[in-house]
Amino acid sequence: MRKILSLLPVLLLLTGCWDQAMLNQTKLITAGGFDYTKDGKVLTTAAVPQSVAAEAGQGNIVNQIFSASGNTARQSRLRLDRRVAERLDASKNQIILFGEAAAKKDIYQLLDVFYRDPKSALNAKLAVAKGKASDVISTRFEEPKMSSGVGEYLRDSIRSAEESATVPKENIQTVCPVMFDPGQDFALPYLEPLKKTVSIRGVALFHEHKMVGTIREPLSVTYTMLTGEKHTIAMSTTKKIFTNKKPELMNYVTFKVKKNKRSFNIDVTPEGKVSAEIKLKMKVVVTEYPRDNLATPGEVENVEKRLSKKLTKDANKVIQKLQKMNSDPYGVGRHVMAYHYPVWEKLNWKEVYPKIDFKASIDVDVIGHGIIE
Amino acid sequence: MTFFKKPKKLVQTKNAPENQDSSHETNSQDSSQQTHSQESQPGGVQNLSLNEILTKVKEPFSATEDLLTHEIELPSDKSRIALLYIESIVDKQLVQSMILNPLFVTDKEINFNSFKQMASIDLKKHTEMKQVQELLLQSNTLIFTDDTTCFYAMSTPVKTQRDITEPDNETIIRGAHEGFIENLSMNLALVRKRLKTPRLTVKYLQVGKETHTTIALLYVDNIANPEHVKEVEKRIKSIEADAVYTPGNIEESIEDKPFSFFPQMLSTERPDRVAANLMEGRVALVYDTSPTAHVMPVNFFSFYQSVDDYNKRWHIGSFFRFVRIMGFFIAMGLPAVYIAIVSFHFEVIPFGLILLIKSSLEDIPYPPLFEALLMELTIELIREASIRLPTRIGSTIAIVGGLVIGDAVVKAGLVSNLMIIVVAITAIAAYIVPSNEMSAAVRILRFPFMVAAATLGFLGIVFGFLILIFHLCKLYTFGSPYFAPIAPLNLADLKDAFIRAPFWKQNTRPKDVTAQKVDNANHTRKWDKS
Repeated sequence: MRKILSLLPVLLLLTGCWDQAMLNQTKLITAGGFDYTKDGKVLTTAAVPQSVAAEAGQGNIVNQIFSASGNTARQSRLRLDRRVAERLDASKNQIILFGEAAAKKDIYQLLDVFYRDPKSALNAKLAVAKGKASDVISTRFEEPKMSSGVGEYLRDSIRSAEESATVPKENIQTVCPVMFDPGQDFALPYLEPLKKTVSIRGVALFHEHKMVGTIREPLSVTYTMLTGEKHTIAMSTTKKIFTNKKPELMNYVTFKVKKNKRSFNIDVTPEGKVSAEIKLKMKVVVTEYPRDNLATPGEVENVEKRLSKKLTKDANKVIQKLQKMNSDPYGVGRHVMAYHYPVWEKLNWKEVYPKIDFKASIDVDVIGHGIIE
Repeated sequence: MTFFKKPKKLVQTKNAPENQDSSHETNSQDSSQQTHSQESQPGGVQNLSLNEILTKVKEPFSATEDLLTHEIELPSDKSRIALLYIESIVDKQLVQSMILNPLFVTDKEINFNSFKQMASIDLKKHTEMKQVQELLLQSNTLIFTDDTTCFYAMSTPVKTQRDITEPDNETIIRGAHEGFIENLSMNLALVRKRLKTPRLTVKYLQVGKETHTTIALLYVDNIANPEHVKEVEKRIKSIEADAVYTPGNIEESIEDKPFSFFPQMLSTERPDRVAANLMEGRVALVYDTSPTAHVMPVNFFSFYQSVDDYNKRWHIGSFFRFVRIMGFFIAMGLPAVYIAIVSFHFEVIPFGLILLIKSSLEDIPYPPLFEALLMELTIELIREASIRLPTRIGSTIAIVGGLVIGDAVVKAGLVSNLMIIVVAITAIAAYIVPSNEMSAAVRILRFPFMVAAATLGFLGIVFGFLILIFHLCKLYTFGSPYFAPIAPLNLADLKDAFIRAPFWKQNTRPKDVTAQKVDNANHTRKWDKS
């Protein structure tokens, strides 16, 4: 026993450390993008920040963009690895972008890699880019902090869009169970590269693994409201509630949601007819109302009435679009599956969903009008 | 000591009152020579002339020149007496004032007999000739008279003790600023001053065949577990050595697990700390010639208690106690965690930080383990150097070590900035422990942790802590568990482990000490209950 024990330290001298992953011998991917090449291969693009100056903390970061193609996502990653000097590591990845064409094909096939690797960053954001993902990643953006890089810039852009409720909060992990749920779908941020910036244009709707359409920006806030999101830091939007005022900007009101209460009713008749209704009760604060006179109760009532009407109209527009795209992000199908399983079994949900009676109504209650009387 | 044969006949002279003051013969230290003394029981001093006796007494002292003899003829009855002492350890003024002055300056009528009665407290009569050596070495002045059946000894130690000062290695903010010194009787006085109870028991023990080091074993009779007292006494008595110089010698001779990194006795220079521990039912060893006292049995958390805790408001005391325990983990684990993170698990670093860390590490040529070892060793070098150096040069070392090395090493690209931060925090955390021994143990233990982290990452650290906790749970000192009150778990005793509960809550003694009385009769704030 003693002999064996005394031999143990010798193990340290063996060619160990095979599983070491030294931080200073790794290249960290902060943003990854997937596209398909013309011949159907997966094209992976990765942004790797590289520090330039030796002095820590003051160093400038230069983004290096690498890309490689392969038959599968993993193969392209491995090829990518061969193109860079050190080992590539995706554990600090901030965002994964899909080119619109790739998203319309199937995103699970590309994401599979991330669900199998224990080191992958499950909190990385997902987004769909108009055009090619590789174009977005290799754009030289004006804004990114010198210390971070494109990954952080894109992530922060999406985060600020989430805070203003333009897009729902999703990442690799939250998307996974929904992706396999036949009764529910999801939506991802949809962004468009401009010359030197990136703009979040709304949400890209998915059905199963495929992107099926988009809802553009002002309407996408209504989409997020309908998900029942309680309130984000600044869930606010501007709506046109008058049509006849001059100048034009007098027609608008901007408000910020303080409280959002959703009731979601789904009725299934014995014959198997499904109808759904989302009712929102919102408490809002008016943050911009050029017409003023909000101090009078009559005016407030007027605004409430017109705002409710307008928002209800918008909400129904969103739902119409969703039904047209056959995307069910509110989970009507999930509800039917859970509470009316015999009915669900009989239905072919993909075909039924676009035809169900699905309505929404939004009731607005103004609880504040800013600090002026 | 065989040159005094058994006396054939006791020389009985007319000095009848002489036998009265023989009651001072109270030395109980000659236990080892018990058999021998029985043989020469009635007394070792033979019917020899004074001169002959003096010659024989001086014989074992080879040729030492500081052994002085004064032969005096008393003016009153012309009898001769001889004073014998070792000049270097005897206060000559004391000899003058206590012995010579009374004999000469006062009344002409005085003779030795009346002197004896006058000085009867300090003067002890001895008949055992073999005690001569020991008494001389214990700073006594021996008085031989014409009556050679016995001799007298008076304790005349030279006062060389330093002032009572606050111990440098255990300074506190509030509380007593007294510390032990290199004098046993003063040390005992400092403890007795705090525990004015008749149940405080002092047992003198001697170790070292040549050095005759005196140890005082202290305990409170009706609180301390007699088993512990017996065990400590047994272990000390079993020490057989020519020389026992330091408390460290004794500590190593009586501790349970000599191969453990952890100190198994609390060394302290603070009498208040000793007194408080004695009242908890522990046993203490106080030494002559050393300001360090040992307390046993102790548990792991005793080393993290400071007198300061009990003088602060209890929330604050608890907070700092907690900070100290955190310091244990930081000092032991932080370099290891750093190594594990940068060489295995960098995905745990937040994104905002990772690029900073990465860019500071980017051009370091060495693996993190080597980097850490280099810096830890440097810190230990600086520490060791600053102890050895005189205080005036000490500050130079601080500048050279801290600024020059710290800064230059980074600029030269040998070590990363972050490593410097880690090493600095670790060093501070290691010195947060109020006990120097525990601090040293923690500092040593982080090296194996660093190696484990560099081989297996977090898994290695987990293994390291597992082994450490196994060891702590297995460790027993003087029969009481070292890792109490965690293992065995005793919820009530946690009140003085991780936190310092208020005084009015501390009404039991710690269980692991197995004191005779668990209730410490702590009933304060009765006025508040009405």
